[in-house]
Amino acid sequence: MEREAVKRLFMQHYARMQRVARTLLYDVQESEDVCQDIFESLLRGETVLVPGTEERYLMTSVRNRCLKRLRHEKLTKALPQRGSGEGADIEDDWLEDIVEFATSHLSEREQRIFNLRFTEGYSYEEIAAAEGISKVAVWKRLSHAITEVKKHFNPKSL
Amino acid sequence: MNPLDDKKLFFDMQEHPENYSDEQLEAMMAELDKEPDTEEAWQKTLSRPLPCRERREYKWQHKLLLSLQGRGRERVRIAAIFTAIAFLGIMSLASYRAFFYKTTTDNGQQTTDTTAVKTERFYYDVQDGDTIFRFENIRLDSILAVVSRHYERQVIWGDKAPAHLRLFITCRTSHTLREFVDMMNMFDGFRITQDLNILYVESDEKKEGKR
Repeated sequence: MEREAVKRLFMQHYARMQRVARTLLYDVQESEDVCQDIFESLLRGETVLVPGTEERYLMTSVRNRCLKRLRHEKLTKALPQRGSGEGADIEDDWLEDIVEFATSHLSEREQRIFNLRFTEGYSYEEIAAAEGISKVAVWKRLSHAITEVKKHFNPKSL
Repeated sequence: MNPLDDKKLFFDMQEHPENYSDEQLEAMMAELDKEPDTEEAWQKTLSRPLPCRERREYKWQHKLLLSLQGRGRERVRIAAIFTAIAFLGIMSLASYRAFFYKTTTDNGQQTTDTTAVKTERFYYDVQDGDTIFRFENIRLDSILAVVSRHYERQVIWGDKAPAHLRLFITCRTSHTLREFVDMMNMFDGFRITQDLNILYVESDEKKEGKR
């Protein structure tokens, strides 16, 4: 992929990718590493993107890489856990399960907030504006959603 | 303190937001949503060096740290004993060499011992949007791999002999390719020539032979 094209994607999506990474890893340096790894692989031509799928690829990659790091560093206590020793592709199934759970057990508003933050990488302010509530209310809704997810997938963590 | 430095605080705020004031929650949200300097981050991405080697080193250091933390003082004690043995060994070797040096110079022979063990180091620094690369004892081929990517040039080796040469050099992204090439050509052992998108590298001997 041409450097200019990669740069354009970087400028367009980096901030949102950072937000997803920070929300999952809670670590500035690690979040930068994860996002830069993705763009480095594009620069080296290891990944070829189909036009129109760039945003989805970048947001999914950042989420998956963060989850892999969490698993690797055994920091998954921050998120719902599953048994260890399962395949490397488990993260995708795991996230699908969480999304399925979210759609069936959370209120509509909580589902939207959860999705906007963890999948789309929206800022708290953007979510608050979209939902017409305060930022603190967004935090509390998200907090409730995460607690519910944890309770279902990893009751011991509570 | 940056709230992101304290993961426990983050988890607690997430699980028990009722224990925190709105201001505290907003401070945490502001930290999480802080806009990154994308231009600086882009420069950092471009100048990430030798990724595989760095990550291996990181993992090795990380494992060592975990093993020291996990197994406590026993491990530290064993490491200290090994260090002491190594230190005594080096001291004995140094005494022997000092004695040997003295006897050879006594016989009227000049001996030089300038062997120095230098560690490889590559790092970069961003200052006012200008990235400064510092290569210390790095192979020429590794240096050119990083720099050629920055200038978007292909490196072609006339002969591979100079590839293993190790250099100490500092360069900046604000330098033109011409300046970089001129600077590199001040070293002995190789010549770099620029032709369109190609950086052609050959040893001094080969270059002389052509003339």
